[in-house]
Amino acid sequence: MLYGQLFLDGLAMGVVFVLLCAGLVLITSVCRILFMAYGIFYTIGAYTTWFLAVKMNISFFPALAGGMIFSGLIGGLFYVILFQYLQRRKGSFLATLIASMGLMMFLQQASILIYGTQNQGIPTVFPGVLNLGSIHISFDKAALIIISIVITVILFLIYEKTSIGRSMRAVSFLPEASHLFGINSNAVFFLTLMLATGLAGLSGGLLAPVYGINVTMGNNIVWTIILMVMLGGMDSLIGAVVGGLVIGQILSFGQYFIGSSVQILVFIIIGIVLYFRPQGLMGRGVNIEV
Amino acid sequence: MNLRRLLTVLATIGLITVLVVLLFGCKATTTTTTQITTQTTTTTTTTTPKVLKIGVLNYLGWPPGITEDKLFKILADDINKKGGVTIGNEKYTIQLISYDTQNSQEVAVAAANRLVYQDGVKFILSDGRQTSGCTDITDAEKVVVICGTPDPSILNPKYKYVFNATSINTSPAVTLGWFAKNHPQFENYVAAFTDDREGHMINGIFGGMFTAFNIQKTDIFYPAQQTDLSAVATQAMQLNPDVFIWQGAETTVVKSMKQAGYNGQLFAIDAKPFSDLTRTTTPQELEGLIDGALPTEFNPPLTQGAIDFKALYTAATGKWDDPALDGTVLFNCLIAALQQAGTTDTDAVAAKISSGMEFDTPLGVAKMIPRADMGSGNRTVDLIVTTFIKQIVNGVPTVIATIGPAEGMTYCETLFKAK
Repeated sequence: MLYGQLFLDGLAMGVVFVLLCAGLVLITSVCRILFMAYGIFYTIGAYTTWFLAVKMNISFFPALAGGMIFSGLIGGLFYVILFQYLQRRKGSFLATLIASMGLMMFLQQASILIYGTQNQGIPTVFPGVLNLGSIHISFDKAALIIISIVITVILFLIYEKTSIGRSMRAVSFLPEASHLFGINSNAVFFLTLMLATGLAGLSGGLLAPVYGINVTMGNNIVWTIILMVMLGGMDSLIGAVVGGLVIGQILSFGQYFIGSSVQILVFIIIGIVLYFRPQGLMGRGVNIEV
Repeated sequence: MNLRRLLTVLATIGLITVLVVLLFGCKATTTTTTQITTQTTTTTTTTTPKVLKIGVLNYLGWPPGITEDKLFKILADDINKKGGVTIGNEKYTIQLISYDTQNSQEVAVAAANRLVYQDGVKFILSDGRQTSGCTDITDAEKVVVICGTPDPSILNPKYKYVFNATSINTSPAVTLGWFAKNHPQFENYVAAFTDDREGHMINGIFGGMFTAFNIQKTDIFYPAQQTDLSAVATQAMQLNPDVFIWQGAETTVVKSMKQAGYNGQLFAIDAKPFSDLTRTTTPQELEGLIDGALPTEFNPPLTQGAIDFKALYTAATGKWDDPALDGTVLFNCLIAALQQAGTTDTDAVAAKISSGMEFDTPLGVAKMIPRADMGSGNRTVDLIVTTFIKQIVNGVPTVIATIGPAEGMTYCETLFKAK
């Protein structure tokens, strides 16, 4: 049952990243921003959830909601004061990229000042291990998988079935022309960034009881997320899911058979995929004017 | 491109260049100076205390550097509040001149140059991450440098004024030697490290120790940024370990091992505070763990120095958050050397440190030791400190061994001879 265990490990790894990938895809495809500061919102959400759950002694799920809302509000705030002005300019991609890198550094240092340098943790919400023969999975990881799937489905429903989702898709297809159809693209960008950064904060809070919290966790994870999104397609939510699941399995099986060189394998596979499909597995190709 | 546009472009480039030079010129020599001038006359001498400048070279972009910088400031402020430190017949207040090395060799060298030639310091405390590039400068000017690094280059016998005052080369050897001696039944050790510079460096250090004590160990490396370590645990479990060892205070890999069904011995070579271990892992998941212990993680702390330091730190910061104590050893080493030498003459201070100096620290009694294996001869350039060993029993850390410097040296000599 070794392969069964490895598959389950890979599923756990992949599913928890799907939320993060989905948020980044939203920002990239709708807002046309390569949002390098995305990882720091994951950190902010985790620390905020920790603060509410451990320091303020609030129950975990309300604390999680608090972390998500706080991250979303910070993301929305920085859209209003920074990105909305940069997006109006010609060649805004580079400007927003640099701005997001600056924002990442700023928020990183702010997090250290506010939350300190100590690693933190949230007590396990679902203790215990589920044993299925010789296959093991902790209850908190199983819950994580289920919650991630539910939230991903909700996100899909919002994106596909609601008017705001239609607006997002319209703006991602034709950003310049969408306002001719009465869509306030600024409002769409604002809501998208809020939603995506809120998702990142939610992911941070969800993963905190399982993996702990440290000030560099966002920086560590952002590159993995970007790889997953590139593999799946930078403008495809389904691609985000596929990318997350595929890389999760590669990391799991690769770690067992080839050790830490699995990172190289991931890059090779992504390189091969992008060579034959530059838009990613499920992407349709985002036209970005640099 | 017409002339006007060309001039505009050139002017813009020039302006940016000037801004960059100013920015990095200031940033490379960021100063956080703590200058406490004596305002009282409570000293025993009737003259105003002199100022002892101590340079600090630390990488402030990561938590250990920030913590160490903070510890230096707390200790210096405490000395100054008490009227200064007595060296010989003189009283000195301490002025810290701190620069961020930014984890860059070039920036560290520039900062060292500034400390030595502009600020005129004769004593430097350093995290040692970039010291090897600075040591030629400091040694040439007879500046005493106390480092906290396992970097072997600073133990090069050509240097006369630089010393390692962290127990990272010795405490793990003492812990491992004691463990191997008292647990001969364990044969199959499996260790997990991050696949980055730090992980490989620690593996290199540990690898030598395991070989010296005739312990067979299988290493597993995993990507440093990997969050979920269940695959690492699956890989480790397939090796049927008697003892599982991991790097760092982050216990995610231990949690993953327990969730994968591991019931063997957990062992950690470098002391990890119980509060750090249990941030993401329950005491039950750590049951039976044998690890080095810090005096400050117990209530009350195990040494008088730890009691005093804990009170000082709590008063200064408002809370006790289990800071790493290596910085206190560096600081105490320098102050003890100055006091025992009775002078600020760097030749005398270096000679005092080089001759087996003993001094008190919050970690316990510390002693400078020679590293003949590194070619230092009888000159004592490294450090050993009292080693406490704990075991998690019924979810509570319990001291199971106290190993003084003399006994600890027997284990270290096994390691040094094997090199």
